[in-house]
Amino acid sequence: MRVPGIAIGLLLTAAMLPALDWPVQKRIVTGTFGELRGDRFHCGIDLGGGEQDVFPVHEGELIFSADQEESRCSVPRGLGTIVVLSHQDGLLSVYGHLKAGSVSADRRNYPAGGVRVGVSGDTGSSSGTHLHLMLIDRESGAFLNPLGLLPPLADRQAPVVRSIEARAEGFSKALEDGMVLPSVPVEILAETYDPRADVPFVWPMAPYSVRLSLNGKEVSRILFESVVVKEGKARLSGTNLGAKDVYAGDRLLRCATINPTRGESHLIVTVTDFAGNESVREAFLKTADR
Amino acid sequence: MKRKPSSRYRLFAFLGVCLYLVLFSRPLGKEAVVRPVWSRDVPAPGASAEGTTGADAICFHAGDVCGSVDPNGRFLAVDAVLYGVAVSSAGYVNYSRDANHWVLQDVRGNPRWSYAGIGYPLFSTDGGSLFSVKTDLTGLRELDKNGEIAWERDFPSFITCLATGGDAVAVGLLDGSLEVLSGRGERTARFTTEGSRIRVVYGCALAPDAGRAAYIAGADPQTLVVAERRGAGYSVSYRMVLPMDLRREIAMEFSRSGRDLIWEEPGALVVLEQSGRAIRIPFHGAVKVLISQKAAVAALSGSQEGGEVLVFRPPSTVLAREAVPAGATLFGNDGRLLLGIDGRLLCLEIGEM
Repeated sequence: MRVPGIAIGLLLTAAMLPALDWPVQKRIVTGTFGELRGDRFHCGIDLGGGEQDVFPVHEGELIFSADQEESRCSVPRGLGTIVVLSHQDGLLSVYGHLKAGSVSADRRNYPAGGVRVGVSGDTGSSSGTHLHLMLIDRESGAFLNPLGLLPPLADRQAPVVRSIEARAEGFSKALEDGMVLPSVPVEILAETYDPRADVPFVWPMAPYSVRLSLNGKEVSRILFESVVVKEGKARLSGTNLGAKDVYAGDRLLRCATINPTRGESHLIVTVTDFAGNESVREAFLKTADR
Repeated sequence: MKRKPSSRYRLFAFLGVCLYLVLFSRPLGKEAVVRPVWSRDVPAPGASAEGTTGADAICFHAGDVCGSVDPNGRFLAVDAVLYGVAVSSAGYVNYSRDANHWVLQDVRGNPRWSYAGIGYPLFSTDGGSLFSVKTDLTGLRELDKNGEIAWERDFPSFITCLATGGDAVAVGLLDGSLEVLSGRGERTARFTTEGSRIRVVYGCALAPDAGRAAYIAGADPQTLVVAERRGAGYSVSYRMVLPMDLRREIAMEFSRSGRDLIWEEPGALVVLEQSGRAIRIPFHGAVKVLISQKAAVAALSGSQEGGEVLVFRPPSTVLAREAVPAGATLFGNDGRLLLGIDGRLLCLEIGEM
């Protein structure tokens, strides 16, 4: 059973962090925290809106910068031109894919909202002009979901739960009411994503949380709140779940492996986004006799 | 009355001098020299191979083209650069921006194997290892000779710098720690930044045999740390506060012998001898390339206004120094340097006489 505990320490840490501002004027979220990117979690958010000035999320001090065209690169930087600022209470903010040449290597201090750190661009592993924003809690080493720390965005569009799937040996089906599950451990997966009204293209943006309940009891909860590295592997905070454990494919999340009980089972998948919009999909199932 | 030294005394003195010469003599050092070997315009991508053998070929990346060239300046392969190129003595990887599928090509441009994971390729200094770096800089994989994942490791912060030596790899991180990994990806040492207000690793280097590791970390103050391998781990042997405050990657490299450590400071390259003596060689601009080749070290600086190339024999014998235009590239292999300028390659040979 997969019931991750919420990282209370991280929540407390987040509660103590300074109030942040959006780093860009056009706040079009084109990539969310926790999305599957290849075989890893997306540990930040992407902000589209074309080329625009990027400001610090809070007053801070430059601790690292790399300009794609001017800097030494002993390691190929997929984040392109980057700036890293250090803020009070141990928070670091990382601004990636900035336009080459838009960064000052000499400036040290950035007052809140006053001086731009660069211009959003298309450098590094990028498929269009955008800002990649990462927030890191220096003390815990956790990559924090910026949507949990930035001022709320208006978002009336609920996440989508396209299907619930069940997989067991020799069994793989999208669940519908009345379907018969085999009487063996069955993995339940949810195909879900979070669309946004201001993003015209379909992109598998991760929601904030995915919960699975069986017969009225919550059996798993996946929270895209923060990612930490434990034993050399990036995992969702408070769990041992790496990207391959959480995702079976783009948009397809592994919720839990359940043991269907004899008779009827009632499965509910509840998905919420950061604005609190919620979508529910449920299935009434039967279990085959052994 | 003064007595003349006896013949026995003279014999002992002579034998003593001979013994001293046998025990403590040092051969006269050969002079390192740099000489240009050839200069060629790089042919258009797809041009037919001029050379017939790939032995001792050097792979290169110059502006919009990449490929390989033999020691006599005959091009073996020339390709248009997709987005970036990782080059080594063994071949090159010409990769696209999305980095989700790339192919290792040998020095003749023939595909050897492909890799379907996401990440940017990076060769070790000696070309013997190939890594894949996660595009968000939070993880590293080593690929084996067949393109399969030999090991992988995520880091608790993102990678700011990386160095290889022997079969080891040193990874500097934004959180101020330096991890040294074995050829199996196991952590053999971890150093943390101490005594600085800001904790970030800005540069790192490994000696060619991984017997020494060095890094520059922290700001306010910025500190150089050198560590020697002791058994399975490393212990710090030298620590020095540096008179600078760079908040970007800092170039560092050990000489081929592993005895001298070179790093950049504003306006200079600094050579630290094993004795602890530090010598500054004037050098302008931010260092983009710093490589050790045979008895010499080569550095290239650059910005939009242009840069400078410098070849010197440690500790401070300058062999060549020249201003270069913006966009110049520099690669080295087995004592030869390839300098790419405006679509032209210049081969320099580092020799001894």
